[in-house]
Order: sequence, then C-alpha cells, then structure tokens
Amino acid sequence: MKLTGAEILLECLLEQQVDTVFGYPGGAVLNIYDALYQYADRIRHIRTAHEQGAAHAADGYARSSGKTGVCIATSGPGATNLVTGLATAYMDSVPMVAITGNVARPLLGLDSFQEVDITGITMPVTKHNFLVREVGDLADTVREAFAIAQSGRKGPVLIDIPKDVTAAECEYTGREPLPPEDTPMPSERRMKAALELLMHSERPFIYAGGGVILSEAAGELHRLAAALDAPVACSLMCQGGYDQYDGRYVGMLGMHGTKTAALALHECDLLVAIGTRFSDRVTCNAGLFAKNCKVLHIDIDTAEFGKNVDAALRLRGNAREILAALLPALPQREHGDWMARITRWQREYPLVQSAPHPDAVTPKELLETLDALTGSEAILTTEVGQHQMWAAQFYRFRRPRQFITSGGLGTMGFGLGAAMGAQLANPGKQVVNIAGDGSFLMNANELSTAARYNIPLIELILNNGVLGMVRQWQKLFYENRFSHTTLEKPVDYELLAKAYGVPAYTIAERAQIEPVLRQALGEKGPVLVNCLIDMDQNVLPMVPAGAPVEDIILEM
Amino acid sequence: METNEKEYVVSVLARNHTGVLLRISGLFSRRCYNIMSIVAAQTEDPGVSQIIIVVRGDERIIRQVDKQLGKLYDVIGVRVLEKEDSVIREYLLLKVGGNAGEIDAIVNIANMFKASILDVSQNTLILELAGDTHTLNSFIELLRPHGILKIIRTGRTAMERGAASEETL
Repeated sequence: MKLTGAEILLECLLEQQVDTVFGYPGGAVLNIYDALYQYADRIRHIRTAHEQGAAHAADGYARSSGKTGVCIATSGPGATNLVTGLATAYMDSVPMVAITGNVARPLLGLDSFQEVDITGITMPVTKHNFLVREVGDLADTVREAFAIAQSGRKGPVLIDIPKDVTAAECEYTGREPLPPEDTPMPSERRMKAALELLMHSERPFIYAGGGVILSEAAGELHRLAAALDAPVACSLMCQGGYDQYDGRYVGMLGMHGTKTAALALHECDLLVAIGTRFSDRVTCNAGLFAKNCKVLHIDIDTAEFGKNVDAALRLRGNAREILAALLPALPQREHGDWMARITRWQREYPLVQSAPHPDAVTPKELLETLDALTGSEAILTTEVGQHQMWAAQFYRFRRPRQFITSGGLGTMGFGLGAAMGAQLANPGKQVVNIAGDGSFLMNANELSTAARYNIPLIELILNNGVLGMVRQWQKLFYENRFSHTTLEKPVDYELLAKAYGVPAYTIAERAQIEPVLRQALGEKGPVLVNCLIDMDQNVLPMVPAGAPVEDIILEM
Repeated sequence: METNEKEYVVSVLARNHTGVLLRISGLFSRRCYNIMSIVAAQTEDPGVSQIIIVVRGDERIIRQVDKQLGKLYDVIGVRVLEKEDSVIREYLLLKVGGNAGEIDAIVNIANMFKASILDVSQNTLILELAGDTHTLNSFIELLRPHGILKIIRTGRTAMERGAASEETL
C-alpha cells in the first residue's frame, strides 16, 4: 500500500496503540496535520496553547499511564519550545516520542525560514534522536524510536522529519511493535551475595526511587519490606511506589525528608536502594551519605553505580525482576527492636506546620483535606517549589503513578500541562494540579486548552504572593534580602480563570477549605481554586545543600 | 583528586551515523570529562566507525566515561585499553626551517628517528614520523632549536594485541 510520509507516521503511531497526541500545527507539519484530519477518528489530537504545554502533557500522559507519550511540533520555534519538556522527561526517565517537522531537504542547512538544528539542540536531553532523510526509513525509525523510549532506563526520543519527507510516497506494510530490549539479570553470584547482605542485616532500611514505579515493582517492594521487616523511605520520584498508610513508611528521604528517614539512614546497617540515582537532593552531601552502613544498590542503569554513591554490592537490572527473584529465597526476618525505634521516631518527629493565626490556611491542612475528600485516590501533578514539597509531604499516596512531578529538572510550569495529559489518560480519576502562584503564571495559557477540551482537572494554586522556595533560601542563607522574589503582581486569579472560561473559587481562610474543595471536586469541567496562604510558611524539615542528612533543620 | 589523574585510552566502536562524533564529544563536554585527543575513522565495515579517545581523569571518571559512552544508542562497544596489552601510536607532520647550514643536522635527526622527509623546499623541510607519544615529543624537542614552523599531530590511535579482543567484531 503506497502512503505519504505523513500517513506512514500516523500508521506507525497506530501500530504502537497511540490514541492521543499533543501538539501544535505549523508550516513544516502541514502534511502531518492534513493526515491527522483524515485519522481524526483513530487518533485524538489535543492542541495546546504552546508547544511546551504539549510536551508536558505527553509527559503527564506517559507518567500516569506507563505508555509512551507523543507530542508534535513544527520546525524552528515549535521544536525549540519542546526542549524544556524533553529535558524534564529525560531527567525523570519518562518514555516519550517527540515528532518535529523540519524544512524540506533542499532547504536544510541554509538558515531557511523556521529552520533549526533540533537534533543537535536536543542531543543532551534525549535518549536518542533521528533526522529522517528518506521516506523509506520513516516507518522503521518510528518503530525504533518507540522501542528505545521504552527499553532499559526509559526516556524521550525525538524524530525530526523534513516537510518533503512527509509528502513523499512509499510502500507501507504494518508491523507489530518491536519489543523493548531485555535487560539481563545480575549473575547468580551477585544475587546470592545480595541475599547474604539482606539476611545478615540487623537494621535494614529500604530507600526506593522512581525506578520502582518505572519497572512496576511496587508489589514486590511491599513484599520485600514485609519479608525484611524494614522501614521504607521513598524519594520524591517514588511517591506512591509504597502505600503511605503502611506503618513501615517513614516518608521522604533527603533535603525535605522526614527526621525519621534521616535517623534511619544514620542508624541502619544496610541501605537497600532500589531504582535510584542518588540525586543530590537526596544525598545532600554524597561524600557523607550512608557512611555508617553498607549499600545494596539496585538499578537498571549501570552508569548510576558509583556515579554519586559507592555501593558494597550492585545489582544491575529491572527492579521488579530482581526483587521477584530475591523474594522466594528470602526467609522472613524479624527486627523488632529496630522497628520499635523507627516507630518511636515516627511518633516523636511527625511533620508539623504552624499557622500564623488561627484562621490562616496551612498547606498541610489544605492538602490533608484534599486527601480526605478524594480518599487518597486522586492523581496529583505539581509545579515546582514549596507547594510541590508540601504535596509530597501531606497527601498520602497509595499507588504508583499517582504523583506526577518534575523531580530532576525542577521545571516550573510543568504541572498544568502534565495534569491535562494525566487527566486524558485517566478519564475516571480526579486529577489535581498543585501549583504555586509563580509556577502557575509561567504556563497559565494552558487553562485555555483545559477549557477548550473540557478537561475536568482542578488547578489548585497555593497563592502566597512570593516565590516561596527561593524566598525560604533567602531567609536561610541571604539574610532576608528578598531579591525579586516578592511577586506583587496584581493578578485577579478568579477573573483570569473566567477569561479562559474556567470557573474559579478562592479559599481565604480555614473554614472555606472543605466547602470550596467539595465544590471544585463536583465540577464537570476544569476549575481553578485560588488558595491564599502565608508568604512565610516554610518547607520543613530541611537539610541544607552540602550538609550531611543528619543536619536536619526542623524549625525556622 | 588531581594526583590520581592519568591518561586513559578508550576505544569506541560506533554506528557510522550522521552526528555520532557529535554525540560522543557532546557527552564528554556536558559531563566535564577532559578529552586530550580524539581520532575517528571508518573501519573495514563501512557502517562502523572506530573512535580512539584519550581521556584525562581518575579511575572514577574513567568508569563513568566507559558506562556513559556505552549508553549512547549509536555506540556498539567501549573498551578502556590497557597500555601493556595495546599498541598506541601517533602520527606527526612537522615543518622545520632549513637554513643551508642546518639541513645536514636536521637530516641527521630525521635519520636517527627513521623519520621520512616528505618535502624539501627552499628553506623548509616537511618531516613525517609515527611512533609513541614519548618518541614524538623527543623528536620535536631535538628539532626545536632549528626553528619549527608548524606541527600537526593526529593524536593517539591504538589497537589491542592478540586475537582475544576481536571476538566482538
């Protein structure tokens, strides 16, 4: 069957069971959009307000579903607008395929209108990228791109297609998707050594990273914690990878982790680190991290071994497969004294937050109320800053893919796009984007997309009128010189939402939290909630960058 | 840290795709690894390139270089070469000023190193020498008093001894 390049591209997306793509039309992708017009019954296209929103939406779609997210942008500025979204997905190992148009082949390299070397630009922020020079190569390139995105440590792949390649015709034969490349298991010898470490540990401590969610290892992690009789901490990227109602859960580890997690790290004799790269936001000071214990490091990416933290034993492979192979050989362990100490710390050092006055809304109460009203079952996306940490601290995640946040790159402006993608991938679930007022204003334009497609997400802005996280650092390390972090933007958020066709409510005091959230949760379309909070509410605990995790600040 | 730094020779086999050298060199710059030299050429298989990179760093860095290179989709294989098990050579072209009185001395040095004389013009000679880095350095130092006009060195290229290392090809 002879098809155009644009049609072949869409056929290949259908091969991969892609049903939703996010994008923005433009000159170099006219042929692709013309084909999308014909394929509208099979592929749903969501036109965002800006290409960055499309990239974040594809990312949110992927993180919330486990499928590969797809976004499309035109050449030049369309392509460069994807870059932040690609870098965000790359840092957090999210499977994505980005398709960009480029100028026709005869115009390549001539500084033509809207021409940019997007493969050159995105090399450091993609797992791989392709420039398709022949229509005959297109189908296999798309198939390969999807396989790369989902193989091993997942990540984004970009395919750049010159306009004339999308117009050229070629024979097309459908194929089954290529299976993702298998990751080999560690050797028997290493697995035995791991069992030895696990069995001889007196005070084991499990620290789970995003790899647990990416490899669908939450069930195995839960069984490991039970068999090992060990406490569990999760990184920001693993929120939901362990049921937070379980008594073994001690909270996050790292810069804004709990004191219990910090003490457990200090006192344990074995740290079982699963699917983690030991980010500096977790180790705070890699040289001093886990110095009192042995480290068993399980990860799919061999380059993560010894990059930040040296481990006594390294197991390379898929976390779920490795845990599944270890579990049957691991006898039930009992660490009564150790777990009793953990429980005591948990009681002694709960996460607390004080209100500046009795009527003030604290982020803790807001998020705990949201947690209660949604039965801990909502999908939360976030922007980046204080609200992001509060969301991780105070909502009680139970399942993987429930918390979607830009952990590695820390992209302000990520959340609203991600929320749209997550909501479209999970039509039956409630999606809430937890935002700060600073982050919201970065990509507020995407409210128009949520309204246009009637995506029933809640945009919950924790409005403190400042760039709170930076302000917090200015308080701690810059003697209260609040350089450019006080927003003083005379924005009427309710009015702004209404201009986009989105209903909006404000929470100004405690008594309004529950009724307003109930009202927002009852809406059938997108809704914005502007929640006023105090500008000097801090994220605590906090370990200063570069300090050992034990130097935790509990009050400021 | 710096005291543990030394030079390592890394041999990379990569798919001969557009931009593969950029992917490799880009990785070095963004991860702050120091490239001393890089030599790339097609192998006997036109679809495959051989790239020899000399890197300066400590053991931790070289392990990272090895693993991070291995993650690049176009990279087929990476080997950190052991000096004892490898032939490591470099190629030099050198232009030296040759006043009438000095030509004999220059030719003597060239003969001593078994260097070839590729070009003789009025007042200049072009010499060619292949060898290990140390030999090339000595050659250059001996010629320096005679007025070196230009030096071009390829950077080190290398090959492992024996048949064992070729099984992967």
